Amino acid sequence: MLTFLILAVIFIFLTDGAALVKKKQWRELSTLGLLIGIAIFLVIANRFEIPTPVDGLQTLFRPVGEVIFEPHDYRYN
Amino acid sequence: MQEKGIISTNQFIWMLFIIITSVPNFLAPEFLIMIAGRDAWLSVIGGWFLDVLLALIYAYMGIRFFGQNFVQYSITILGKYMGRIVGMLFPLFFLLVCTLLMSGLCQLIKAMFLPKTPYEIILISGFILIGYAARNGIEVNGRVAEIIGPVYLLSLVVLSLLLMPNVEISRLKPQFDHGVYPFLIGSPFILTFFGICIMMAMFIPLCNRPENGFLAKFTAVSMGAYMIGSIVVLSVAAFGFEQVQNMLNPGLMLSRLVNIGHFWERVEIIWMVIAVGSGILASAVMIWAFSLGLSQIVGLSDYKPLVYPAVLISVVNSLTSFDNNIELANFIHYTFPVIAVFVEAGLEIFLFVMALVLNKHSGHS
Repeated sequence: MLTFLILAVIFIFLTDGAALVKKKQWRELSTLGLLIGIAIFLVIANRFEIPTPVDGLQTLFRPVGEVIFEPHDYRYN
Repeated sequence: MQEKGIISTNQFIWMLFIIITSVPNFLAPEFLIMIAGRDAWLSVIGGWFLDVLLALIYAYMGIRFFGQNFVQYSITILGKYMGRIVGMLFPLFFLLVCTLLMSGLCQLIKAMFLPKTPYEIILISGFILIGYAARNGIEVNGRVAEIIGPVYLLSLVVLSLLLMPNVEISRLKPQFDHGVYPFLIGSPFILTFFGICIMMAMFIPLCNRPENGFLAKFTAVSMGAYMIGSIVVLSVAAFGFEQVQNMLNPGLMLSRLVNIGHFWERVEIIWMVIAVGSGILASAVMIWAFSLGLSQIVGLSDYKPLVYPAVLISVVNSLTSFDNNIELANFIHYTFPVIAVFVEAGLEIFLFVMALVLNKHSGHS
């Protein structure tokens, strides 16, 4: 995972990051950096078992979903 | 440069059709049958009807805020700060859908076709294609959809005909055996998957005839509902609903049943090739929508630099969030529909009401 992440970040910097630096588009570059930072955070969170946004969504919405979308019991009494 | 591509009504329809069909086809039928049983096909009709009602609001907002997608008109309606917060939820939703679709698709490929290939390799290969497609912009994806869409639809018609010897319609009876409750819960459940075509709000400003937004959505959702409805009907009629609810993907299992004279068999790979192509195209459009939406919120001059980082987040999210198929299935069954109802219906109705109350519009006649 870490190798993939490093390769991906290098690829993104070479394809987009360098061009943005050359054009001095700092806002674009900082947004790109923010998104890469989120990806790095997700990998670190997974490594150290820190809850991710998907875990947050599960905690927040799953109890509601379990009440509404519980499978119907089709067995006859 | 923001998106300058223009799509025709035809491309609009086929792109929406592919989104509407791919996402429920890979993620929903078995859960729908689990919830609604034999009445699942009626729930598909119910979901279609609710989705058409929802489309009226999206089409109206597309005309009222001429030339703006929902990210942009969130800012117009709610102002600079609140509008950005609400508008950001739509692109984030698309990123989540892309993650779920690719996770479901790749786990299916691994389980059924490439059991010895690491999941990561399948996923990353798919996402490389998605990144490439999303970066090429909406026009290219529209043209691809014009080719893949009809093939996808035709493949189902051919599959239906080939499956006729295996189908027993009596397995669909009796209807409403357990009352109307399963049908009533099944309809909003499948609506949450059809509702991903809220993507229409991203397409309307780019369509050469924005007034056709409702027509395009109506046509696409009708074809999509026909397709998902057919898969549900055929799988229940071929296997029985008790068995289908435990299947990984009923559409794929149906294609495995095809056997004409012990000569015409093992056609599932053809079905899968078409379905995977559609799934990748749908994911590419999701990544495109996320990148474009985010760039509009932040106020960037171009969305393309955000495409690869968006793909990276989606890959990492797919790899880290769901350790196995059960976790993914539980998320799709219980968590995703609640999020989807909140975003697809709740947020848009909120924006609609706020636009009326605050008397906001884009200013174009």
